Amino acid sequence: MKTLLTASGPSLNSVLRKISETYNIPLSTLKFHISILSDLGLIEKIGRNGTKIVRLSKLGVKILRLMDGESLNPVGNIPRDVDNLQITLSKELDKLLRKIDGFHLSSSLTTLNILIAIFFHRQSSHMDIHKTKIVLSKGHAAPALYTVLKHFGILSEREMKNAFEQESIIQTHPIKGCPTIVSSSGSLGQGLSIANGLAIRLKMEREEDFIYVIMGDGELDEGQVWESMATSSTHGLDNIILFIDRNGKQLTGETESIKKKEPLKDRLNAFGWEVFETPDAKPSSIIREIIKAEKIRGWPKAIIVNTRNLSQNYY
Amino acid sequence: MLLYNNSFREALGRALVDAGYAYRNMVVIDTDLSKSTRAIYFAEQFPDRFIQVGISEQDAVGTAAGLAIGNKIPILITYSMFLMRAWEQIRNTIARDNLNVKIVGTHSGLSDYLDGSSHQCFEDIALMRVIPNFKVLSPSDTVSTYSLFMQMLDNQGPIYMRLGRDNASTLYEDEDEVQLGKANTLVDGDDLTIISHGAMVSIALQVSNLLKKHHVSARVIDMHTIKPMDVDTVIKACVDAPPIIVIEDHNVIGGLGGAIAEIVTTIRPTKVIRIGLNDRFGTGSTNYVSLLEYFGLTPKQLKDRIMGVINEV
Repeated sequence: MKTLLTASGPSLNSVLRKISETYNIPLSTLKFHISILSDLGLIEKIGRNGTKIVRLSKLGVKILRLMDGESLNPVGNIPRDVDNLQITLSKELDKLLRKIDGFHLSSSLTTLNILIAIFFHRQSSHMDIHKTKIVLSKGHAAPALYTVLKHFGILSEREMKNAFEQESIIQTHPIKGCPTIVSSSGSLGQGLSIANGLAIRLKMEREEDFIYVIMGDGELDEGQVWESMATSSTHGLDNIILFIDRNGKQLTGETESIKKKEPLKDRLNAFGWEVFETPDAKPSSIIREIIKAEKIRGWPKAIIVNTRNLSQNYY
Repeated sequence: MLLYNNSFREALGRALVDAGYAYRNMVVIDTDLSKSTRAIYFAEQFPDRFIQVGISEQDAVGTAAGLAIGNKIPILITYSMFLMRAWEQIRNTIARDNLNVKIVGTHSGLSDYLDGSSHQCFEDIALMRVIPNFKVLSPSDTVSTYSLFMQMLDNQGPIYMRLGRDNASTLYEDEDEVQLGKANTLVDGDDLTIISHGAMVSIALQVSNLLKKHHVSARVIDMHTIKPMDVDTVIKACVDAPPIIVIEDHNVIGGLGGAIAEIVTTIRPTKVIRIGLNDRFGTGSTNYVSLLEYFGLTPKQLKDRIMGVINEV
């Protein structure tokens, strides 16, 4: 089973041959065992480029982990001071947006903690924060990103001074040229497709990294979101971590009255995603789920961040 | 009569495979059409560099963008008509960031005669040439399809290549030079100039032969690069051989005719007659040539129409 977990895309026969050679077990016995595992739902077959690939199912992964004696609470202690950051940076964000009369303040505020969590987590896990790859599908939350980048020393005071002016890399919606932003955005529902392309490229080059996609719950209305969800799972893009800023509001009202998103977790599951949910919008709660998500291999992961208590106005 | 001994999509398939060997960072994105577009030839040769996203053009455009950001050269191949549903993604994600994505729209114009009006695309040139940073190509035969495809890979930035399905002629020899950005004058003449692109160039050549019998000497220009336009060649034609007659399997609004009119009105006002789909949709047909006839685009019909124009002047 472990061979199945670690292999990135073997065909069934090649895996069985490998096991047969390594442990000196007849191939026919293994084939019989595999049919039992398949009947129990512990392994699954996926097609890629016409060849059948076999891998552990979600249930299989969970059982293997329990057998390995993995603790049911795999996340260690997260420093509490990360939660204080949201207070400081909310004020900074408010200050930044005063220049443009609080344009998109509310939707930036609900996204702020997600970005704090990503950068704080990368810094404390010794991942280069300057090389963070962010796709802000929810482009109008860009001011939250600038605030976080400034705090982590990625954007300078001088760059912030020129914010929102012509030719500035700090626009109300992200543009290429701003650090950590991999693609311009602003038109909703497109970010995950772009992230998929990047993630496929990372897989091709066998590079290990994560692509962080931040999506609003309103933009789930777009059909392209669901096209791209299916692409991520078909291609087994486990290097994507998608955050859904579940603030419950979109421009003209409550999300459920405009176009239903629920049952969101079930929908994502049905599209082949591993889904995590946070009980609240605290950065520490989000980091807890990021750590869990990073460990999952074989399929894409989404974290639904409950930011309802942070949203004030409709945006 | 009309002779079609070749196929645009077969030329594309051959170019894809050859380019696949020459450019190791080239990848192909398919929207479940590779059997029709002949992208399957590449898939068979380079399965690891062939990315299937299913029937989802908008997602395909975004995926191509991501691959280009990662320094791959993504070739997105789909029917030109269905690419248009992803126009906004092309504009906002690929063009705005000037990404090195190459898009090939096949089955354009009248070439998909059997599928009818839902599949026949007469709007793509108008929609693609209006986007900043984009170059727009429409090769006229199999040799230029191959040659321009290869040049496209060395040309940084987003490019849209418009292709027909089958019904291609062979107009060029392998050693002929077809250079991206430079129009080819196929026949010299001084009574008038016919400018065309894509599958209609072979028809324009036949029109010029018919006109010759009426002692009308028509210059024929293959404008395979619609954007950036070879302005010098157009202006020279305005000076030497007016009027300009544009023949294309595209709406007369916004196509090559529109593009040429935009240029000549500013630099050298000249009469430009735009012949194509007269602001209408296509229709299904069991035969390519009879569909040309239905829209008045056979060599004889075009000759008669042009003779009428000359007699008016």
